Amino acid sequence: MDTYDWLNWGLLLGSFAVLIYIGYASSRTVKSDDAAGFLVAGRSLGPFVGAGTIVATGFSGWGFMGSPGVAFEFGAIEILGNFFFAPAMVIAVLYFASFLRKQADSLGSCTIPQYIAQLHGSGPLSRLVQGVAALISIVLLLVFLTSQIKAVGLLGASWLGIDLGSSATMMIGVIILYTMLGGLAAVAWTDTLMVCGMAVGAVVMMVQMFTDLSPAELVARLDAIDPALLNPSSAQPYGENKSSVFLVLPYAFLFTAVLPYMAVRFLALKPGVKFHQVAIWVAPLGCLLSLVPIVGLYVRAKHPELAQADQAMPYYLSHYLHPILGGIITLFILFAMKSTANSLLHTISSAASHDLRLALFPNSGASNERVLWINRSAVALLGITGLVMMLFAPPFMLSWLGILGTGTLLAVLIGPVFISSIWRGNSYGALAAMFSGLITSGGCLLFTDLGWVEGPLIGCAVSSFMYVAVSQLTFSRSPRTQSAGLSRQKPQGQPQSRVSHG
Amino acid sequence: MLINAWTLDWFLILNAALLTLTAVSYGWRELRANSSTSVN
Repeated sequence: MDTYDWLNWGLLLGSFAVLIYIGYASSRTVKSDDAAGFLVAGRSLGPFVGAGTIVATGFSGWGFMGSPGVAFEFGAIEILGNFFFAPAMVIAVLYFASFLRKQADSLGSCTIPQYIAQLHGSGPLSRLVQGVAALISIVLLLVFLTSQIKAVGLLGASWLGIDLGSSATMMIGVIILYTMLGGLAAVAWTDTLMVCGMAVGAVVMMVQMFTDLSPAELVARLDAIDPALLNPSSAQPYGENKSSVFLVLPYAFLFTAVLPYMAVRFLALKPGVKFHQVAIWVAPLGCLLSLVPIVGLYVRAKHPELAQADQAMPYYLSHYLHPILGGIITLFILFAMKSTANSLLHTISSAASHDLRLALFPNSGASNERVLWINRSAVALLGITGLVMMLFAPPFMLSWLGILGTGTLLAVLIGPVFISSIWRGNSYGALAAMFSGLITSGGCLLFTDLGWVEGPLIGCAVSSFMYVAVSQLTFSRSPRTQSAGLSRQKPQGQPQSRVSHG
Repeated sequence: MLINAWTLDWFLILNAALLTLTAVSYGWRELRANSSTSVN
């Protein structure tokens, strides 16, 4: 091994030590009296940690590896498309998170499937809703987790000069360890550390690029290569019509507000935290990270003959940065992937150990220690399942099922999580919305040429319609429950987490 | 047009708008919170 390999190993092992220490330090939070300690960090997150974990989870490895490749191939349209995640997160934080937290707090919900169930009714039907929401979340997000493990494994393998299996095992092993120790608190605190690294990485890359090539020069070079890189006549890869790129905004808003691994963060904030205090951190962090795909434009301007577009970022790191700096930035890119992977793992394991358990055994009466043991075991079991899937599942499946996972899950949950905040339906409506969203979005992505934005958005429209229509038709059989925020009643038949594990 | 590229023009305008609106929203809400505290 040469000097730089030693340095890379040192950086990686140093970061592992810090991440595991954070997991250990946050394990005090999970020893609180109820399951909320592990599932929602004991509702202890401040504004900066809340913002850090929202941004780190939302900006996955895609922003650092995939998006620069798309920018290299399609041009500046990708810079605009990728940017929409920043305003979407701010809008979700400012105008939706408060409502969700208030309702979930009043119901005692610790996860999104539990929130959906408690909001729409009680008894066996409510448990069915919780079980279905948990099961669909597990299946779809497990595929996304697998693709994140693969991405982190591939990057780690090329960075350290080891094989994919060893790299992925090492990375997911550390994620499992600190998530088991500290639950969502560990995930949120490590996310915050990682988002700081990601932001520093973005600044370093911007400084290097714009000191080498001024913005005006970059624009002039791109225009000389192909004017369509700056002024495309369509919004490809987002759609034929120029305005298609703006569809990323509603998509990204729903992504932040509805997906369980994003929305659960709103439930984990300290009761006194105001959401504008969170947004003031989300906006600059989001804007900073949305600059990263400019690397793709820079590489296109400097080295347009690069054969594979998805090699834009690896080429940039190896050719335009000093090896030491390149090593540090690679660590920060690994952080971007890990911060999404740990959130996915925590959400999937919570859905299995909390939601499925409550759906199947509502009156199990397990002790706090037993419940914590079950939650931690689920993290280990599902983390290992993701690793095994990555090693043995067919590669073509992993490459696009990740998109199917989040987009389709969005269509599944939009009715019971988002539409319910405007117009509340019942359990039948929630079930109809989940199944119709699954079939429509999944069908669009699997059997049509619709893009990864349009397919899920059509699924969202159908799912929302079904939520309202089926609820209306079945209100005589299953009336709407009282507003949780106003009544502050304990829902019957659906044990509150605080009560059942307290 | 700012820099003769509609994609980057929108990118810059929306970036500036997002940061400005978030800062204004923060300032306004903090001001409102402080004034209601002082009244109480």
